[in-house]
Amino acid sequence: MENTVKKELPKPPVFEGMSQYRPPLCFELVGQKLELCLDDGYEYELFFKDRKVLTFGREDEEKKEYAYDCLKPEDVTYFVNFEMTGVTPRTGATFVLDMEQSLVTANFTTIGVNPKYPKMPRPHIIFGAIRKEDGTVPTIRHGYTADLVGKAIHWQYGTLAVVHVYSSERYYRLTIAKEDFIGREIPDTEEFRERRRREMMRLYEEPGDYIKIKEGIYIFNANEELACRERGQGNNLFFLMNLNRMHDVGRSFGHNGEGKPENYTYGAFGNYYDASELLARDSTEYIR
Amino acid sequence: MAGSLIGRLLAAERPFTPFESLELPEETRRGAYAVKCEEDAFLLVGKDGWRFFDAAKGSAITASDPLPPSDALTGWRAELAFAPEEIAVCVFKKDAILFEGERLPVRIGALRPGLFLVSGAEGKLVLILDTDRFLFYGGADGAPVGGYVKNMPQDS
Repeated sequence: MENTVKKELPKPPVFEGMSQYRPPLCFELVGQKLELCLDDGYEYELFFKDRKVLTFGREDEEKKEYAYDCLKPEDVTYFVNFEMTGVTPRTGATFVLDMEQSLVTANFTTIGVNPKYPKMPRPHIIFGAIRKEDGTVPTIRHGYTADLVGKAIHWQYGTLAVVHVYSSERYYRLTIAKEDFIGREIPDTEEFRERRRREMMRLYEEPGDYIKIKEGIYIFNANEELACRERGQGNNLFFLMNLNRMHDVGRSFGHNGEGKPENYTYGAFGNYYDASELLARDSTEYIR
Repeated sequence: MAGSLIGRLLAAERPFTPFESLELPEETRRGAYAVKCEEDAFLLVGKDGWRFFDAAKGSAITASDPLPPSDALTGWRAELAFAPEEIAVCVFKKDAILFEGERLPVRIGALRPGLFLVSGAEGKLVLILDTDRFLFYGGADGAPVGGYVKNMPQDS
């Protein structure tokens, strides 16, 4: 006879934001020193001192130590994230290191530069290359793409599920799924009905960037500007997606629900979603 | 018996295959696919079987090694999502998984707090369940598999 005594079965503890499904941190780069030749005209040194600390700075300047997270959604593409502590304005640095092609895409996001909205993040994406062992530097770059336009993906972050609708080359929309990954209807809760009702009145739409790393591997950069204008704060969300395996990893840089600074990494699993109804609607937020 | 679960895991289109960790280069050179399960824990999957490697202790467990049994999962009903449209609903018993009406004999052991090993089918099936993050990693007939675990209402 099976034991019928009630006992505690597995239940996930509380993780920061959307980080429940974040994969284990990656230590493959420990001990490596990379020379990043960015198209802002400077060369930078990124040295992974140990599993927790890296040093970073311009080649011709003193390097500083920062605590970092490294994740990878693909065998030889790395997502490195850290906050440049002690810098004003507050600056988050994120690098997508594509070791197969020796290319890099950097996102330096600053907060505190908008006089009206001091919590508005301002991402600054810079392309570049990683100097190879033979001293050469590739001339090709990762680039902006329209590959994802018209597609939508339902992402599961554990404590949060959301549909990213890649509505144009410059914008994205958000919605909530009516069904889960295998077609079962999402329970019709009051919160769900309220979100649907609001969505019928206006779209949630924000500026976004789409960058192709290689086949099936993309960056999606989402900046919560509308949220910031309406609620006084919004975050910069930077995703590195592997659409061959429907994983993503990423980071949120900005402020949490309590208004405190946040900079954390996360991960998710996805499935394509039919958002044709939402895609067909005109924007309620941007003239174009 | 375990063939149906292994078959389902292997037949998925665009599976959530975990990336290959390159942190154990010697194992990779020997042909094993290293899957990182925690910061210092790896599952090595290959045609000649699987090994769980605890890098913190420097020890390994294989299909033939003894493992203290655990009943921490007994009675748990969970969904293993291993591809965008593929979910395996499993009910964990003391020494078996109930899957699609079949009883698959397995052994279940605790590797460390929040990390469990489930193995069966004469070494062809292995699952490492991370019950903190609700992720899983595994091997099915020598191929790496993985995904996320969805908790289900236990009374359903």
